Amino acid sequence: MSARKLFSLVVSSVLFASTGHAQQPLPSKVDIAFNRYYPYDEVLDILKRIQAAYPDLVKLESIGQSLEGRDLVVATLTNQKIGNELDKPAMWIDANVHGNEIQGTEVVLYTAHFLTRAYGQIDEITKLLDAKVIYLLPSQNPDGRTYWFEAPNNSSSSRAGVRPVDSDDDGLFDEDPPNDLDGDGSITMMWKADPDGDFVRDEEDPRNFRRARKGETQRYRMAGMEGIDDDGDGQVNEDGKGGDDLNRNWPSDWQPNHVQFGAALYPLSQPEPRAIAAFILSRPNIAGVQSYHNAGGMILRGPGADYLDGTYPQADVAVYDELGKLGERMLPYYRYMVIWKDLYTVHGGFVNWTAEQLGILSFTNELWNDSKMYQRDGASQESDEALTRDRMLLGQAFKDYAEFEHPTLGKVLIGGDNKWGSRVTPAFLLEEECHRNFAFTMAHADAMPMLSWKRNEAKPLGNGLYAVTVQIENEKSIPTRMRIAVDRKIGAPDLLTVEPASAVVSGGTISRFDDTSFDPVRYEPARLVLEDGVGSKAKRSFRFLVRGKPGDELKFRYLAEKATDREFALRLP
Amino acid sequence: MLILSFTSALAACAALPLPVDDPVDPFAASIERVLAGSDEQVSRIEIGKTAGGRPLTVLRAGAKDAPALLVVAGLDGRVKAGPEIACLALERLLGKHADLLADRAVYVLPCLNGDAAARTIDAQQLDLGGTLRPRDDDRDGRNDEDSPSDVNGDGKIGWMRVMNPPVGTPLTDIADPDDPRRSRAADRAKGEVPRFVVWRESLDRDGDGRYGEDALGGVDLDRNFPHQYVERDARSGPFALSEQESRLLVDWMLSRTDIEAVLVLGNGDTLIEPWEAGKMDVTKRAPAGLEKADHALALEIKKRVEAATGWKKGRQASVDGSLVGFAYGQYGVPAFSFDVTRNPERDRALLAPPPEAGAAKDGEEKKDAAKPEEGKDGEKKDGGGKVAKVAGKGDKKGGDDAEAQLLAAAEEEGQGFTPFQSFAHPTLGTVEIGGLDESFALTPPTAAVGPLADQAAEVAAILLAALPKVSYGKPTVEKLSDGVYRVRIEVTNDGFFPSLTAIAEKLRRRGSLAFQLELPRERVPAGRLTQLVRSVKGGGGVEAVEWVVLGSEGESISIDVRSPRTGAAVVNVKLSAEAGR
Repeated sequence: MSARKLFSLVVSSVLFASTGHAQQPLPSKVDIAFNRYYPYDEVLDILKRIQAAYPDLVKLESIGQSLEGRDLVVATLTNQKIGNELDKPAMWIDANVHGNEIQGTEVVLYTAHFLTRAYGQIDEITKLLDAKVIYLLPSQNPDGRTYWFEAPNNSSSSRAGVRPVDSDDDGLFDEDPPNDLDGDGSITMMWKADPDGDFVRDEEDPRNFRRARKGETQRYRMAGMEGIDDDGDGQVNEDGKGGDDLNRNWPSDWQPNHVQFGAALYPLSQPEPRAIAAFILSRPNIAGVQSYHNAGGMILRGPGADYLDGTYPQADVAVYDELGKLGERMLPYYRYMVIWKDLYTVHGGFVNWTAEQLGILSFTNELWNDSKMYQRDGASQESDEALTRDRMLLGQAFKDYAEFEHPTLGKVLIGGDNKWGSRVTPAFLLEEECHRNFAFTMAHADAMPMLSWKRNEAKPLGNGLYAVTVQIENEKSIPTRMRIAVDRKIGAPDLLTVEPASAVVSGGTISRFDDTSFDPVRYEPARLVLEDGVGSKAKRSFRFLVRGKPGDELKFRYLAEKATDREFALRLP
Repeated sequence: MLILSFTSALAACAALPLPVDDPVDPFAASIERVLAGSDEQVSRIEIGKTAGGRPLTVLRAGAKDAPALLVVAGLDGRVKAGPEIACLALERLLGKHADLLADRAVYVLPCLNGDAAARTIDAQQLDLGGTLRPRDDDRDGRNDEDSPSDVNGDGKIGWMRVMNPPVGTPLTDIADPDDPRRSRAADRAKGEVPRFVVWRESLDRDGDGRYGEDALGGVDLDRNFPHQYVERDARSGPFALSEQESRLLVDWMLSRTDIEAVLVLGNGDTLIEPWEAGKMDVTKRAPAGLEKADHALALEIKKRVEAATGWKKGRQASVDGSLVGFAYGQYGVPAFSFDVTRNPERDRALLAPPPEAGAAKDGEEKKDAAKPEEGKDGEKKDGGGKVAKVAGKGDKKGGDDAEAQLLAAAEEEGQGFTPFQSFAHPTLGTVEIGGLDESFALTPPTAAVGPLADQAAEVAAILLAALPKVSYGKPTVEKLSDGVYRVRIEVTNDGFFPSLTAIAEKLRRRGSLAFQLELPRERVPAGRLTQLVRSVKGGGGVEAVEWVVLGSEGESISIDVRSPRTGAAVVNVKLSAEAGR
């Protein structure tokens, strides 16, 4: 080792040996455990307790009902004593549009819990809630969540909305769901002994089935998910509960069911998306969106289909990249990805709607990656699975195979991963999952546009004429108008107004490179329409020729949907 | 917080008069007339209310629980003839084609956009015929603040030839030397010097140098349906089915299982100009026009319609976001559009004196009435001198384009075109105002409404006659051996349309016939207990389900039948050597 290398090693050891930071204790008026999962009624109860404890910071409202009549409750977090909710940039955070993808709801609860207890304790959070709004919807699909908790399921079932769908087209609806034959509360797998089967039980660990080698006997075949032929049509489990995918029901590249499975009847045909859309459409101040799913450890952005590739303008992609890559650093084993390219095609997805139709910078985090279990790359080989089952989770997420006398198949083995066995963050890691994702959304919220005046100069030109120069800066990464909103004419353009308008002879934008002249607008110089707003970490300068006399006051206002409006008064010298 | 600022900005603009709602819907009388004259054969269904609170009335006639045709009109408030033609067509259908309604049914929704049909907007604002959802067309942060308007006080909103537009606006057009009523781009390469730009007749109410660029609201209901919906199109709405009327209609249609075909009386034709076959859209899975197999059906309908009406050429209706597009592409039934706007060639033929005198009064005469239309060319030669003269001018420029045809019709009728006349515009100096009236282009001659309703009734009859008629027969039993029987049920379709179009098969939306044998599995060695029949071809197509059943001679077994088409029933059959052969 060279002396230089040795030196740098020593330096880095000194520097990095102490990078573990303790979090200061932040007592809350509401005690909530984040090492467990909550059924929907408890979720609402927690929100109510938080609201009751922090009434100045939290407002709760039901924005509509699910198909089965559960309230869709939005918590609005902001310091209600400062400013006006609709004038503050807002971040929308929701979860659980797929009923089985439950842990996002706990992340949302954690967000409400952390923000309320940190307000007044942590400067960053205090500033955030004074200047911005966080909208929290704990579950887009409370019926699906409830069914997942209450009924036997596996980690992938109860994804859908609960509108009955005749999946097998036999005139009956939802009549042949999987059945919890062994009564363990989960839908696991059935295996049938079969001399012609392709599988055998692994000799090292008989809980695993593996492909049979030549000559091996005691073979099995997979007999599908636990269930019987409820409707006697010769098929098993072919028409379970519901069938609409509530994350394919949004009016952005919506496609009918034969193109996009689960699309439901038409865009926003289902009550949950419809209520949520109405709320979001009434809040043009929303400038950031996060919609939690599981699983895989992804920070996803649109577009959702190959033919939409290239529809996110480069200027926007740069901001997505900045935040997405930040997320990769904050969320171990998460990767920043594009939906259609890296996951699969999605037509009519929620974040596609918010990003592409409303011009909001939007992410979907797919919570939980198996590597997190071991905190190292390349995990989740079979030996690791056994380690997880036996040593880490102490058998909690696995049902040992047991024989069962099936009404039509005869003797079968039933067992395998139970509904907690994959996708859901293990409870002992849940709080970490919550905090890291919460912190990422706060970085997202922090990136929402924030405007401030920079220059204001009035230069007398003689004859009662002045050249007034003003400059406004967006110090944050998200522009006041995403480029996609500019290109597609989404939302309202920004405005810069001067009062009294009658004093303004001419006005316009100053070139970034030439301060000596400006580009005058021909009409209404006291009301500049700024379709492209103020960009990412950018400044814009404007100049007005104004007629007046010393002491006259001019009022400048910068109005933007997604940033707090700014105004200041200038007195002519 | 821009919303509030915009509201106040708008308030600061000169307040424009709001539309005046006619308290009595212009088509309400027609609906009452149909009901009163129908001898209780027609019933009224209200499927909801428009945004303005008007009832959305559907009229129904025909057999109970029978396959039905849905007719819808009045999507665009400017297409004034639709609702009346819909009502008249129903009356004529009842009169001439009662036989078809003995085992079929028809639903007629005369006016989907009742608010637009009923309102009268002051001539100071242009009515686009849609819903009045506000929209900022010119992206200035103000909604609907600079509508075209009647500047010269002639009661119409025409077109302006602006010779001195604001600085920075280049001149582009000249009056066509071949027909000075028309404006066209100057061909600089040929030395033509542009004289003016053409704008809608307008003031610059918001003082932004642009004229009439932000008209009053407007979602076009016929672009607001979800099939091939165009996102962010100027008039398609914020999202598909954003408007109450379109969504109520779709909800109602989806709640019904008896609607087997749809006819839209609207802006454009697909009866004789069917959409293209076999081309897929950007998803590569949904048809841009028609599925190939469905195109063959459309061609047969085209043949029948041509024979009945004598039509030769139409203006094809757009598929994008249209009701007829949805009815086909996502509802999955044969669907067609009947053009109830002005089609000068068609209307001229309709109004030509027929060889036999008098308007058609019954079915037979109606068939004859089609003949002179087929001989339309002859009519042009002997009777239409005036027409030929004007059309001839158009012909020089390549012809029978829509504008030339409309100008010819205007000349013929002495209305519909306002000659361009100088006017001293308050801010633009001297301009010329005139041009084709929009309402003229969108409305057939009053005298043609009756004959068009006849044709609409004939087209409806063609479609009614073509509806799929699906039924299943009595089960047949064949004894294979002692205690072994084959049970078979056949499903037939006596209509012309298949029970499922090719697109409906893709959509998997419309129900199969499900036959479920009520026997324990071990007594049915062959054949799934529940069997489905999905599509049955038209023209007597047959599909069958079969089981091999173990049982004893004379034993009765039950089969559950479930289908949205036929309803639920239990069919009993006796296992017997003699049964049902």
